[in-house]
Amino acid sequence: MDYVNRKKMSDPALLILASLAEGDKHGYAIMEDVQAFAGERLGPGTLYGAITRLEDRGWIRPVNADERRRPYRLTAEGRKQLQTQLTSLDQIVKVGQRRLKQI
Amino acid sequence: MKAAVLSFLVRLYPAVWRRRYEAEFAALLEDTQPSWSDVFDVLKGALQMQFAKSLTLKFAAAFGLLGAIVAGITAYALPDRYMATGIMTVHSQDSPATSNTTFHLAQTVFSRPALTQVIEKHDLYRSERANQPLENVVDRMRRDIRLQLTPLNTIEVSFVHTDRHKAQVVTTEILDRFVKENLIRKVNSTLQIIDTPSLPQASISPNRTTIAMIGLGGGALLGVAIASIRRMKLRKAI
Repeated sequence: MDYVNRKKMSDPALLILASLAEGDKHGYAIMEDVQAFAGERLGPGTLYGAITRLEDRGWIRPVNADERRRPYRLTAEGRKQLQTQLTSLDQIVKVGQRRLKQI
Repeated sequence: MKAAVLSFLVRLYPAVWRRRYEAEFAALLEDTQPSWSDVFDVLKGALQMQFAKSLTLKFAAAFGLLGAIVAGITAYALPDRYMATGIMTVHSQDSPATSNTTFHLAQTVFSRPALTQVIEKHDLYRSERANQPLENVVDRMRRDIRLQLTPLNTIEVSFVHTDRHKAQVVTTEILDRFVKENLIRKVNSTLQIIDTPSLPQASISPNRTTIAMIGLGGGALLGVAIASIRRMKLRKAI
């Protein structure tokens, strides 16, 4: 069965989690990294909207730092959620590619 | 220019959010070279955060105020309507006579040809006559006329109109038509006008305070509903 039961995550949230999977980053570093690996520029309002929601859910947490450019870290739960999202996306990609080859 | 606008827009975020994120958000804005699309992005982010974090009360107040303003403007755009009232008395050898007499006379006085004459004579409902068939205008006039029988064998006749002078004149004419029609019929009852309509001083509608209050209440309820739905959607989103 090709159907994947996946709770949809917004693109900015997924991109932020993927960026933080590499290591701790502050807002501007996330923005630059996402642009580099996904070719998508997250606006400041969109970026911090997603950071707020992710932190509320406990999927990321701020690293203790007194500096204004506060870095964020992926939590264990955030890593699990990212893994789930990527697995289901991977399945969608595989199914799509297989069907394209059948045409 | 953009920096000043962004600095203003950051203040639109809820206070609870700013206490936690304002310093690092300001640092991010310093690091980026914001474009105008970033300015709109920050505005959108501020509005979404207001929906997600703000108190429902704030939305109820904002929408309530908006509703009151819209309702107030609408109420002031509506014309004042004045009601003139005259009273007739019925003397009859037959009893009970008032309702029968009034019913038969009213059939004639409020007939379509009779009311058409009144409408044209006093130039009533000019804009309606320009856009609608005369039948509709006559129906409209019937709705503006009130006829009330009292236990003391008197009949109150009222007419409501946006021009208080016309309200008075037309009510007087309707009363006269009742009396004349009664004389023509030569029935065993007499009609006598005991109170001629006076010039109305105060309008009977619209009640602008009530309309503004309805707008306030409706707007507040709408604000609560929108805030609740939006908050649920934003909390579900990741």
